[in-house]
Amino acid sequence: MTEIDFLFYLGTLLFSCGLLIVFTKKNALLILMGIELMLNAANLNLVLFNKQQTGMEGQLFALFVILVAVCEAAVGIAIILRVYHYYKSAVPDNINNLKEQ
Amino acid sequence: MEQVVLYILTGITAASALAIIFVRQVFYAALCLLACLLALAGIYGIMQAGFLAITQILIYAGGVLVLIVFAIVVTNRLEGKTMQVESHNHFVGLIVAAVILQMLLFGYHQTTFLINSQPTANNLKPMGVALFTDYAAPFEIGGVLLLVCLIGAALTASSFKKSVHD
Repeated sequence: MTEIDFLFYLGTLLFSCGLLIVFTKKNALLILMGIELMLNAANLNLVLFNKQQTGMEGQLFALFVILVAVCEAAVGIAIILRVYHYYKSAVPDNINNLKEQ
Repeated sequence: MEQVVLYILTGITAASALAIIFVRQVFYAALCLLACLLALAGIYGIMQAGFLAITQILIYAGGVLVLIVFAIVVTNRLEGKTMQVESHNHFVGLIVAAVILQMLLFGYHQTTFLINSQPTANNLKPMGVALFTDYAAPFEIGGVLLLVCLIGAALTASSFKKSVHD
């Protein structure tokens, strides 16, 4: 098993860890962290693909993934803060209204 | 030497990613995520993606993690006690995660990769040139996306007035 194989296994492990966190945790911030973990697994795969060819496409794609992940985190945390102030609750299951009562 | 460092960084990444699942407090989970992201930046550096390593440290460890810690501090004050994370759906979550892991490993074993061993250590200049020539359109659209998300986040987070309990 070469080191590239090892890192691909690390990427799959990171992705399923993120998926497990998104499925099981009852806190919106931790769900956001799980999504970040999954995006990082995808980035690791892109970097490894880039190492196996001559161009720069993999690294550039990973850069754009980071950019979109940052936007997603900023807007997501703004929405989470707003929802906390409205519902006083950390559990996404309690958030069940589409409009103000 | 390089391989030993790579294996240590891989171990740190895997251990801290697994620790996020088992940790009980949100702040400790954020610290585990920080360790995971920093170790990943080291792996990028060893995999000859130096620019991505710097970007990972600056943006993820410096930007996103600070945002998450800020959100934890604000919501902690709102609830008046340290946040404990509960979990549910253990069985379904484990099954789905295991199936996805198996599928990814199966797909990886099915694929044969071209091995290119030529070193591309100094790739900062071609990356900058590519960003401003071949990838100029995504670069500009990314800038517009950042602006839009800045305005949207500021508008969303401002003006706390109503609450369901008031």
